[in-house]
Amino acid sequence: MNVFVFQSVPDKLNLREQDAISEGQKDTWCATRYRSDMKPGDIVFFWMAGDEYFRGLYGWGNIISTPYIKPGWDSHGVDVIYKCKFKKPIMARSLREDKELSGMLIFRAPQATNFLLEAAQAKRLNRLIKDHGEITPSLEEVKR
Amino acid sequence: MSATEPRTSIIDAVKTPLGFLVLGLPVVDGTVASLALGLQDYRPHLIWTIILSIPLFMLIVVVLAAWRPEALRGDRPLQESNANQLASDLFLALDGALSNLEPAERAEAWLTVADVITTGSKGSVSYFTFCSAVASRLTVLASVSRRSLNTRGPIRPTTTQP
Repeated sequence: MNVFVFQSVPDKLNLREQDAISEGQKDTWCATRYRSDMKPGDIVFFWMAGDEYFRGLYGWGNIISTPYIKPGWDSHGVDVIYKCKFKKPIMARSLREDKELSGMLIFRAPQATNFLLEAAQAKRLNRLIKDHGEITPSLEEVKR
Repeated sequence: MSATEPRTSIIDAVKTPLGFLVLGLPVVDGTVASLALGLQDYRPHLIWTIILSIPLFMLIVVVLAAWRPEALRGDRPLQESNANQLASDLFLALDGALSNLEPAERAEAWLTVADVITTGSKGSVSYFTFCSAVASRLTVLASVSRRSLNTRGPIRPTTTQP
């Protein structure tokens, strides 16, 4: 099992809006990188880019398809199901203060869409989210 | 203390241009002072030379520190022409593979390269200047712009304007 972070910009999907990340709802996200690593069951954390006061993680879900492309799309896509929207977002600044998580590529590549987390980063991120009192996904199968 | 130790410490002191300047000033002033002792006719001029050489030396160091600090340290800045060459070579080597992607995915890949090489936490100022030049050249060669990138987020059906 792999753990990803998918990034959105507010112009495309504003994760602060009430109906964004509706639990149980399915959606198709751009899959521009790590396509061969994406498979059903993988965990995805949803991140919104932008200003420091709203930049961060807003929830998580699961991948439910392999990546595919349809005519008219700018890139490949992958289906996800939203599982949890955080009561309060986990802000980027709190992640950057963590020694393990400050090395996440999302802090260095703000133009990218998909980020594959290392096992240590995924476990640390889960711990941090749990410390915020939020529901976390099970990472028992994470090997990488 | 062995006889070679003072020589070694002198050599250590002149390893940088700043060290050479600091050591050179007393040597030059000492030479001029000894000349002033022997040459009575020129003594006022030589004494003024010694006096003026000190603020001149300070001015040189201040100007270099402001405009070319790497010159005082003895660092040779990585030239922009080298950055352009590296960017061209990277583009030549990788764009064939990246062109297999969808245009938006290729654009994101090149912009990610540009971002990653310019956002490292380690490296000197000259290294980041060099990387910025490489990144800038890469985005030009790949004809990509940040504004046109539309891949971050879910896929939404495009609405056709009437």
